[in-house]
Amino acid sequence: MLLAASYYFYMGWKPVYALLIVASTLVDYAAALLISQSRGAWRRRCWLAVSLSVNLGALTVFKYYGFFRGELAALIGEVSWLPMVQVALPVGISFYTFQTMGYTIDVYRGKHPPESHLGIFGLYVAYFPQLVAGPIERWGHLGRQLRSCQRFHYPNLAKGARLILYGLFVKMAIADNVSPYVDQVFANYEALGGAQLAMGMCLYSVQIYADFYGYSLIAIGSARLMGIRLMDNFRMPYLSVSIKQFWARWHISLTTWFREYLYLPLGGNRVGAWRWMANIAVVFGLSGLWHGANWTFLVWGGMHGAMYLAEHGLAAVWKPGRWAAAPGWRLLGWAKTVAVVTLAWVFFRSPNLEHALGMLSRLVDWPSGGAQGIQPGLATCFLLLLFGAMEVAQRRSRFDRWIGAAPAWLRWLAYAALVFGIMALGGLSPHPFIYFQF
Amino acid sequence: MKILQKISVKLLYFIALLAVVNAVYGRWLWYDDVDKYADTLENLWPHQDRSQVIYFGESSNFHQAYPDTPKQRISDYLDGLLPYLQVGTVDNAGLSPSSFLHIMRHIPKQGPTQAVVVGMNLRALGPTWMYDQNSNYLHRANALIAQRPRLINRFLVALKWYGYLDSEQLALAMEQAWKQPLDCGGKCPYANTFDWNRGLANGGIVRDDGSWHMEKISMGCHYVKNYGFNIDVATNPVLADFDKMVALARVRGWSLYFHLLPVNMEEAGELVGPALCGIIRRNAQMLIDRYHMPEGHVYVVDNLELLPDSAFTDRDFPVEHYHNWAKWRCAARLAKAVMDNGMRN
Repeated sequence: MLLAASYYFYMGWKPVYALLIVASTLVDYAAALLISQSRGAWRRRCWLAVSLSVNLGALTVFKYYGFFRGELAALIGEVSWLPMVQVALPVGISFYTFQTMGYTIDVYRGKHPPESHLGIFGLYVAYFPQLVAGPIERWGHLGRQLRSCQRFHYPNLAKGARLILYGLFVKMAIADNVSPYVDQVFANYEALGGAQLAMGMCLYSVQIYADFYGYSLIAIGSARLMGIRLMDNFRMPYLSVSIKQFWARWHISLTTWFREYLYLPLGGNRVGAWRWMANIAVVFGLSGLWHGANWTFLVWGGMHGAMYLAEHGLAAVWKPGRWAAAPGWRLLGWAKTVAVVTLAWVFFRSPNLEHALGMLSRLVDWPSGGAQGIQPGLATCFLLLLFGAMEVAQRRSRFDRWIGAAPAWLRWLAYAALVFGIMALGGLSPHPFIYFQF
Repeated sequence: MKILQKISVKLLYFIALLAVVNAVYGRWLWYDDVDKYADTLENLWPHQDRSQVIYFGESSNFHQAYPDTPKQRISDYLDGLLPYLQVGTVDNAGLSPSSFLHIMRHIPKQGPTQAVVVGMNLRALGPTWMYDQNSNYLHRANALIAQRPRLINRFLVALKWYGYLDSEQLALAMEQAWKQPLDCGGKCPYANTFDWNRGLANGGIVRDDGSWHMEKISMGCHYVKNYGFNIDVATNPVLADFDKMVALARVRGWSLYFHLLPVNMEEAGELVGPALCGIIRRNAQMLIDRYHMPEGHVYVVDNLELLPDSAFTDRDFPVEHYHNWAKWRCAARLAKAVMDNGMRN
C-alpha cells in the first residue's frame, strides 16, 4: 500500500517519469542479486558497472547532457551532429539515483545481502516522504525498517506531528516570506547598493536553509508518523566555526554519501598531500555539479573546497593550541564561515557567472542606498527573530525532543506561535521547494 | 482506548488553539491581507450600507479614453439616470465573474441592497480570459475572501490551494481549449480556434497590392482567440458562477441584472468574417435564454450590438472599452430595464 501511495505521489507531477523510477528499481534490484550470486570479482564488478551506468546515464541524459552540448557548441561551434534532448528534469532524480547506487555499492562491498523482495526494495527507492528531496537514505538504515512491520505507537505520532509542524513553520513562515525579497534583490542587483545586496545575500542564506531544512523536517516527521526513522539532514549548520564543520551539519545525507562512496574509495586522507587535495577538489566539485549542470554550481563547490583546504593548510602551519577553543577565536571562525558560505550562495542562486560576479562587485558599493522599497516587512523581521530564538533554544536536541521535554505551558505556547506563523503570517507568494529542482 | 482519548483531547486543544488564532488573525491582520491581495472587496464597503443598486464591472465600466472628460463610469451614468436610487460600484481591471460572486457574498444580508448589476463580458467565458496569467491573482483574491474562517482562507492561499496553475499549465490549458472542435453552425472556416488563428496569422488579411496587412491580421487573430469559442454548458466554470449568482440573488431577494456588454461586431465582421459574428451571437443568445427570467427577477440587458465601431476606444485589442457617450447609452438601457421592473423609488 505504501508503495502504491509513493508512486501515486510521484505521478501527481508527471506520470510518465514514474517509469524512470521503475527502471532504476528493476535494474538495481537485479544487479544486486546478480552481484551476490556471481562468483568471480570481474563479474561482480561488471554488474556493479551496469547498475552505475544506468543510474548515471539517466542523470546524464536528463540533467547534464544539455549543458555539455551547449558548452561544446560554445567551444567548437558546430554540434548539430549531437542530437538535441529537451526534456524536463524529473523531480528527485538526483536523490533516488544516488540512493539506489549506494545500495548496489553496499551489496558489492558485502555490507549487506541483496533484498529479495521486489516490493520492499521498490518502496526503499520510492518511499514518498523522502523521494523528491531526500534525505538520501542507506539500505542499512531504511531498508531494515521497511522490512519490519511498524505498529502504531503514540510517541511516534506526537514526534512526527511536532516535526511536521516545525517544518511547515520553517518553510512557510520563514522561507516563503523571505523569498520575495531575495528574488527582488537578485533580479535588480544592478540598481541596488552594497548594503541592500548584503542583506539580500544574508536572507538568501536563510531562505535556502529554511526551505531545505523545512522540507527535511516534514519528510522526517511524515515518516515518523508511520514509525520510520529517517536520518537527520541538518544540525545547525550556520553555527559552524569552520567549513569542515559546516559540511558535517549541512545536507548530511549527501555529504556522508560522497564520503562513503567517493572520497574514501579515492583514498580519503590516507594518501599523499597532493593526492588528498585532488580528492577534496573532486568531491567538492562533484558535489557542486550534483546540484545542477551550471558553472555556478561548480564555482560554489570550488569555493567550499578551496576554503576547506585553506583551513586545513592554516591549521597545519599554525598548529592551533588551547587558544583555538577560546570564545573570541570561535566567534571569528564562525564569522568567517558564515561569510564564506553566504558569498558562495551568490553563485548557487545566480543564473550564470556574470550575474554572480556582477552582484559581488557591487557589494563594495557600500553603503549607498540604491532602489528604495525593497525591504522585508515587519512581520518577516518578527518571524526571523522567532526562528532564530527557536533554533538557538534547540541547539542541543532536535525540535521534537526539545519541545517534548518542555513544560506543557511552554509547549503549547510554542505550538501557538508556530501555528500563528504558518497560518496567519505564512508567505502568500510561495515558491516550490528549492531542492525539488535537483 | 486510552490512546484514542489522549489523541481526542490533544485534537480538542488544537482546535481551540486554531479558534483563538483565527480570531486574532480575523480581527487584526485579515484586513491588511485584503488590502494587499483582494483590494476590490474594499470597493464594496462604502456602498454596502447605503446603496440600493450595486454595479459589478471590470475595466469596461471605468476605462477612460482621450478626449473623454470628465471621467464617467457606466455605473456613474446609471446612478445619474436613477435619481431616486443610490448606485454603488465595485470594479477593477480584469475581474472575472467569479470575483463578482465572491464579493457579492459579502453584501450584508440586512443591508439596503435591492438590485445587483453584473457586467457580463462574453470574453470572460472563453479560454483566453480563463487561462490568462491574471487568473491566478483573481483566484488568490477569491480564496482570501471566501466564506470560510479567515485563517483557513489564508492558509489555503499560502498553500496555493486555489486552482493555481503555473505558466506552463496555463498555456497548455489554453492550447487544449483552442484545439477543441468548433461549432459555427455549419459555416466554420477552420476546425478549431487554434487552426483559425494560425490560418489568419499566415496572411489571412491582405492589402490591395497583395502584401499582408499586419495590423489587421494581428487584430483579427485577437478576435478569433478571444471570441472564437463555444460555451459548454456542462463544464464552463463561468456559467457555474452565474448560476450561483442567480441562486444567491434569489436567497437574498435581490433583482439581478446581467449587463451583456457591447462587442465591436462591425470590426469582428470586417476582420474575421460572419462565422465569428455567428459564434458571438449564438453564445450571447445562449446566455440570454439561460438567464433572462423576469418571473425570477433575473434579467439580461442585451447590449451586445448596441454600439457602432466608433464607440470603441482601443484599436490594438478587441477590448470592451467605450467612449463616454457609448457608456451613457449602455447605462440608459440598464436604467430603463431597472425602472421597467419596478425599482423607481
